[in-house]
Amino acid sequence: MSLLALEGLTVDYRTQRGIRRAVDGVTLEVRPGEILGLVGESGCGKTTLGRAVIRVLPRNARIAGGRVLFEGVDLAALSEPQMRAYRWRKIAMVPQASMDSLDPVYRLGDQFREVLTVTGGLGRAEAGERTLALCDLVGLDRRRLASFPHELSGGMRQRAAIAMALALHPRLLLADEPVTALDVVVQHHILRRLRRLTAELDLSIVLVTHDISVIAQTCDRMAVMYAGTIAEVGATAEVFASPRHPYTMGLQNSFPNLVRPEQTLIPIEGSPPDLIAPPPGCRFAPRCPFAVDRCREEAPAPREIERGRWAACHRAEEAGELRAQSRDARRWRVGVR
Amino acid sequence: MTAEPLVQVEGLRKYFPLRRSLWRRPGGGDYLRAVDGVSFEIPRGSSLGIAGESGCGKTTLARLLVRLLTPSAGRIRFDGVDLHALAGPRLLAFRRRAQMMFQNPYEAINPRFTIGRALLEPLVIHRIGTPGDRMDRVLAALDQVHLSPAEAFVDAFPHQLSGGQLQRVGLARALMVDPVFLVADEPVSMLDVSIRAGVLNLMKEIARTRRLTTVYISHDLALVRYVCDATMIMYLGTVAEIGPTPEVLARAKHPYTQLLLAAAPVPDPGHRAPEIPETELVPTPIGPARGCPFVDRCPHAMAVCRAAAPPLAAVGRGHYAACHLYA
Repeated sequence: MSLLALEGLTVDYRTQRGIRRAVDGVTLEVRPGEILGLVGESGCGKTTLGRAVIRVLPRNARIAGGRVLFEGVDLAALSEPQMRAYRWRKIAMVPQASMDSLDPVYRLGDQFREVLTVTGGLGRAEAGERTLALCDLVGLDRRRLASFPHELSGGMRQRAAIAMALALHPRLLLADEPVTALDVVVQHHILRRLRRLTAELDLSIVLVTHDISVIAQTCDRMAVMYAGTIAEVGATAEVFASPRHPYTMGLQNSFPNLVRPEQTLIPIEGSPPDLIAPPPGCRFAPRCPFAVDRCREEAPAPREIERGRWAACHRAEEAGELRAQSRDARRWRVGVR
Repeated sequence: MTAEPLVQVEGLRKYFPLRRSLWRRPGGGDYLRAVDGVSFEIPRGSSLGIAGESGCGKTTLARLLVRLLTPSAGRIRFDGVDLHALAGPRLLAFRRRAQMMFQNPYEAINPRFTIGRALLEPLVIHRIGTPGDRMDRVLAALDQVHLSPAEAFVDAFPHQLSGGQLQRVGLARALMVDPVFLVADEPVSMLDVSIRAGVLNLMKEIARTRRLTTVYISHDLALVRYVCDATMIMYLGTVAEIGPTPEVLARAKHPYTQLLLAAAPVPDPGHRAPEIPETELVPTPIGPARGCPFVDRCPHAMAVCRAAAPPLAAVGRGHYAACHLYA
């Protein structure tokens, strides 16, 4: 049984030029105690997807379809007061650049107390104890509670933001680019810490990132997102070892590997489609070296190719052959205009 | 003559004065030592990668190298001439020979200029070509960075281009004046992964065919490894380790380089990163400098490390590390 199940989730933005469908019929599950990586490039809808789950979308955005089932309850159908029982208490978020989201004029300890007493309804003494426990949980020196945010390093602020999100014992943590602006050593420690938290707290995490190396080192399963749709889902090790979607192959080709420096990087030419008027058929077809006529006419539905391995590609069955061809740089010169 | 390195840096320092009492620490200095005594050379036609954590001074060093900043002490010799002795027409000549690419292409290109005008500007400033043939040069430059058809880009404004295209414009603009030295500060860190590879490959190709001497500033060791002949690791304004890239990254000697390599994420789920002890320590370039700057984070710290700053010692062919383990 999954903790969170998205069924055909669709999110629209109203823009001056028309409706922009940022998330288009996403079906995805998050299992208890796992870290699910959601990887994709800027504008692919990964942040919108996370925000839609706890319904903290910008004003011009709305859930236009689908269901968000959390422990069997459709969050998309709840009223705003009902939804409040879930936010922070059951599903918490560490938003992008959250280390800059701390209030600069309050000491860290005061900010914790406010969350715990006002939102959490704890007494003062209880809140104090809980604050100390939260510090230990994320590896933040307790003495830092007397500090103002500007006195802390980026890593410490990020730990504080994670601790704040965990304050009310959520079951699911949505972490949007939690280590992106941090140095590699700090990044390493925070990712380790997140892994440990899933076991200690029976917590599930959705880790949103653009960085496949972060996914590789941290996530049990991964979902690759492209232009508002899910290209591929599976266990991280399997997706890396045998990607089924050409976009995943392209991402691997273009990512530098410190351990295997001799590989020549191959870019994915072109750019993602305009989501106000996306092309018919597969969204990746204009950049895909393996696109056939069918790809340009008919959007591929996600299919379970093997147990637990989903891919939205008409040619997913030929993936072995395509993988071999995908290492040839000349093949990728398709999107060049 | 050709054996002489294009760039020779000796004992270079850049201190920024701190006036606000907010930053004044008890017993501390009144300066932020962004670059604190670095010496190295860049051979002609080679590429040097400068890597380190945020605040290590790598961007300040890049700006010193193209004389966007004036050093507090030390010297940079460019093609045998002291960079800070240059003035007037000789300084203008240097500005033509040395070019820079910036991290954020959206901020580096004037949003009110068309791409064509952004590329014409350096030709006008440096009086290159005739008004009649300048547009041909612009078109040729756009072609060279694979923005084609070039005619379609000339009248476009920056906001109409993607980040990757705009960074190619940044490269084309640097190349307009036919430089010999190109300093690129995190040129792809703002770009999407699938786009980065194209810009990196293009920069590599152009540096090779034009025999450019290049400096890449990056926090990403995998990227430095992909692009650069030599690698320099900086820590708190000092050189921790420098040498041929495969040497430095495959046989790292300095404990700091080893730490960076251990922590670097690898896009391979089978890769097992070693355990790294957690520390809350925040290195600061403010306050008195004594001993090795890395001492408080170093697993091998000895008494001598607190007493004296380690000199750069040879640890391999052309490979140096500033660590008392090898002094």
